[in-house]
Amino acid sequence: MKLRHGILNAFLVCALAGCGGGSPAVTATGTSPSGDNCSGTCASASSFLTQADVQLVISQAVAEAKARGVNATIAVVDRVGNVLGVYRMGDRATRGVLIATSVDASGKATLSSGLEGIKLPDPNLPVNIDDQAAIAKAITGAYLSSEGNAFTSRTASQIVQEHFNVQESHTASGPLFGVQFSQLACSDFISPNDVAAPTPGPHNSPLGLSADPGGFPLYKAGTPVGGVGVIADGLYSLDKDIAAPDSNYDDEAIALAGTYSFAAPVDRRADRITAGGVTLRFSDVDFSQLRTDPASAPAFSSLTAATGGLVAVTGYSDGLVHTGTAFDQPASGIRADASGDFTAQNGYIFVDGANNPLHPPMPGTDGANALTAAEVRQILQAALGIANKARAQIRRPDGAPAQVTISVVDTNGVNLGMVRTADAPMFGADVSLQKARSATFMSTASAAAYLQALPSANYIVFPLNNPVAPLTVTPVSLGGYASAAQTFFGMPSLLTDGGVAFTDRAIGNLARPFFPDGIDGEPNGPFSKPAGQWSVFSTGLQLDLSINAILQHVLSVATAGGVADVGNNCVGVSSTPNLVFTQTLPGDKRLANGLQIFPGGSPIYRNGVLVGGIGVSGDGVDQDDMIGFLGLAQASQSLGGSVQEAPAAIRSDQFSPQGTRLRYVQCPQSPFIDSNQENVCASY
Amino acid sequence: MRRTDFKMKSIGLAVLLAANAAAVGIAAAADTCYRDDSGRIVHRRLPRSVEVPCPKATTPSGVESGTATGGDADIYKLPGAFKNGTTFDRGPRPAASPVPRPGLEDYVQSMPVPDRWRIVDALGYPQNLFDPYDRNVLKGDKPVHGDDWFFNLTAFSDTLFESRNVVQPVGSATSAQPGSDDIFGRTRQNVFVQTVGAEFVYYKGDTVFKPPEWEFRFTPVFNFNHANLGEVQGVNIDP
Repeated sequence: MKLRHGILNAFLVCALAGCGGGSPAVTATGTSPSGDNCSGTCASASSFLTQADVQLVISQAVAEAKARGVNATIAVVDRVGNVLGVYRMGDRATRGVLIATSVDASGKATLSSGLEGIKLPDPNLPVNIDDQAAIAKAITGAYLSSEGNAFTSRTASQIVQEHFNVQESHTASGPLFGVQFSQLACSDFISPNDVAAPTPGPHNSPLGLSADPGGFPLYKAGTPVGGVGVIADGLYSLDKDIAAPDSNYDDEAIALAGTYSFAAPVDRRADRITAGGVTLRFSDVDFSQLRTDPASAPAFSSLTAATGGLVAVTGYSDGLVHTGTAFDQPASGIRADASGDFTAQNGYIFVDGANNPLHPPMPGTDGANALTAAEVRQILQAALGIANKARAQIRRPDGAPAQVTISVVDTNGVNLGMVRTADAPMFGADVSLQKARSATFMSTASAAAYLQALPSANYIVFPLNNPVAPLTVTPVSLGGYASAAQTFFGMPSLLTDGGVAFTDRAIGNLARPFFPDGIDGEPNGPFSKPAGQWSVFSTGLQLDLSINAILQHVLSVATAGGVADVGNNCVGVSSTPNLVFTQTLPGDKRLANGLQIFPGGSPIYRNGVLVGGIGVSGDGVDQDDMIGFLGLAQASQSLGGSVQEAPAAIRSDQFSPQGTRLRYVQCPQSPFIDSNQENVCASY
Repeated sequence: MRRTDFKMKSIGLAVLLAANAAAVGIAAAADTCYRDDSGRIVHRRLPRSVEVPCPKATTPSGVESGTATGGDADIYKLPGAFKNGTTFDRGPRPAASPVPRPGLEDYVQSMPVPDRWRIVDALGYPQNLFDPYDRNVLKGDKPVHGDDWFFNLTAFSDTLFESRNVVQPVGSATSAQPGSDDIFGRTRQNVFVQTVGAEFVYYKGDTVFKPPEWEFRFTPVFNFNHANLGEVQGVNIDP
C-alpha cells in the first residue's frame, strides 16, 4: 500500500514536472540490483564499501540536507563498526545536540535522570557530540542488520521502549529492552577503532545503539556492508509516537538519501518482519518523499568548505574517507572456524589482526569447580547446533535458521569462549557476552556485596538555566539497587547467598519500569527507575553501573582526549564534578561490558554449584533463550551430567516477589525448522 | 376513549350455523324436546324450558324423484338441477331444531360493553400480583391506572458453565507455575457465565387494534462471568 502510494506520488510529480531532467522524482527503490535473494551466504571478499561508495553516500545525504535547508552531520561505518568517514555541515558551534526522550515547549529535557538533559556544547564545556551521535546511529543501522533483516534506528526505537508495540498500554516492554547500552567503548570485548585504517571489529559505538531515527544499513548485492547515520535536528532522542509519522524527519530523510543505491532489499526491511505479532517499522520516509533525486546529487569532490567537511573524531576517524572491510573475512575480525572446534556446525569465530582466534574455548578461572575447556567447547558446539536448526524470528525468508552469537563465561565474568554463525547481526556479539555475564553475576553469592562496593553513579547536571554555573553531579548508590531487590523479595539474603538462579529474562522482569512488565500504574521493578525518572536514557541499574564510563568516553572523544579515555571495564569507574574519572576495578571482568536486561542468558551449574553462564543474542529473544538453555541441556547429556542447568528448586521461576512469579526461560513456538516438535524445553 | 363493542348478532349466527351442522345426527336419536319461553319446541334443553313430547315427524315423500310433493317439503327443495337432471332436496324439515331458530326478539342493536378486562372482572376471575397464571397487572392484563396505561414485566436468567481443554500460552511477563519454559502451558479453562435481565414496559393504548400510543421500556441486564484459566495473562493482562 505504502509502495503503491509512493509510486503514485512519483507519477504525479512526474506529470507536474513534465518528466524533464532534474526532477526530484525517485521511482526506484534505491536498492542495489538483484539483491533480494540473500539468505546468509552472500557476503564475500568483494562485499565492502569502497572510498567512492562512502563519498557517494555522503554526497547524496548532503544534497538532501541542503534541499531541506538544514545542516547535518553524517557518519558512514562498515558492518563491524569501522568509521569510514564523518562529514559535518555548518559551524560546529551551532551543531548542538541534546540527549532527551522528550522536551518541553522551551526545548529543554523534561527528565533529568541518567543521560537525559545532556546538551553539548555547553558554556562550561564547549565541545560537540553531533559526530558521536551520527556514528552511533550509523553503527545501529549496520549492527542490527543482516542478509535476512534490515533494521534502522527507527526499528530500534520500536523495540526498546516500555511497551511493545510503542504506546500500547498494558503490553510488555520491547523485546530488546536495554540493548541501547551495548557496544560501549568501555567494553572489554569490543575493540576501539584505529583511526588510520579499518581494523578487525567489532568496534564500539560512543553512545551505544541509537533509537533516534536516522540510522540505516547499507547493502551491496543483498548483503550488509555498513551503515549511515545522520543527525541534523540536534535532538538525540527516539520515536515515542509510533501512531503518527514524525513531524520532523530531516534526520531520516537525509540518511535515506544517503542509502540510495545501497538501500536495503525491500523484502528484508523491518516492515516485512514481525515480532510478537507486531510488524516492525523501517522508515517513516521513502525515496519518493525526498526533496532531491539522490542519483543526481553533486559529486563529493564538488562539495566546498562552505558546505562543510570531513571531521576528525578522536578514536573514531582521522578526517579522511576509508575503505570498509569485507564481512566474514579475516580483516573484518570474523571468519569461518578452521580449528575443527566448530567446523561441523559451520561456526564463525572472532580473530585479531593477525588472523589468530580471539576467544577459543578455555578453562574457567574460578577454582576447583571451574569449567574445563572441553566443557566450554561442548556447550558452544551444542548451542550452535541448536541455533542451526532453530527457526529465526526476525529473519527473511521465513523458515531460515537463527543466526546468533554465543558466549560462555565463568563466575568471574571471564570470557571462556565465543562462537557465531555466518550472518548473525553484529550487535549480538557484545550483547551475548553481556547476557552471559549478567545471568552469572546475579546468581552469585557476592552480587550484593559487589554492587555495594562500587562507586556511585554520577549524573552530570548541566545548569541550563544558569549557563555560567559549574557542572554538578547527582550521585546514585548502586548498593541501593541490591537492598531494593532484597526488600522487594522480602529476602534479606537475596544476592548474598546464591540462592536464586537468575536468567537474563528474570533480571529483565526486575528491571522494567512496571512490575509485572508492561502493566501501567504498577510500581517499578527494583532494578529500574520509577515512572517519571525512567526512560531509555535512564534505565536504572543497567545504566547506572556504566554511566560514569559512558560519560568518560563521550567526554574524552568530545574533548579530543582532554578527558582521559575509559579503560576496558564498564563498571567501577568513579567520577567527580570536575570530570576526573578513575577506574577502581581495573581488570575486573564480572560485568566488564555492562549489564544486559533482555532475555538470552542463563547460569551454568555443576552439582548445584554455580560455575558460569551462557549468553546468546541475535535472532529473537525466545530463540536466544532456547539456544542457550537447550544447548546447555544437550551438552550436559553429552558430558554425562558434569555441567547442568540450574537446580529447578532455585530457579528464578520458583520466586514470586510481590506476588508475581518471575520467569526463567521462554522457548518459542514451533522452534525447529526440521521438525514439528513443540514444548522442547519442558523436560530440562 | 375506545370501547370494545361486541357484535352479539354475529356471534348468535355463528352459533346457529354450528348447531345446524350437527342437527341431523342429533335429531334421529332425540325423543325428548323442550319448550322455551317463546313457545318453540327444540331438542336442546335451555334454561327455564319445559320438557314436552316431541312433535311427530313429517313423513318424507317423493324424495327421490325430486318432483314437487307440496307441503313443507317444497321449502327444502334446492333450486335448479344438475346437468344430468338429478335434483336434490334436503329431506323433510325436522319437527324440532336442536337450538331455537332466532326470533325477532333475539335481534338487538350493537351496544358497547366494558373493556375486556372489565368483563373478566365481572366474571370474578381471581387476581394476584404473585401469580402469573391469573390475571395480573404486572403482565398487562389490566391497566395499572387510568383506562389504558399498562405495565408489563418480563424477567429471564441464563446460566452457562463450560469446562474445556484448549491450547493456551504461558504468560509472557509472568507464569502461573514454575517450570513453564515453553510457549504452551496448561490447557484447562473453566468459564462460568450468569446473566439475569428484566424488561419493564410501561405503555398506553389499546394494543389489540393498533400499536401503543406511548411506550417506555427499561431493560436492565446483569452479567457475571468468571473465566478461570490454567495460565496467567490469558484473559486479564494484570496477573
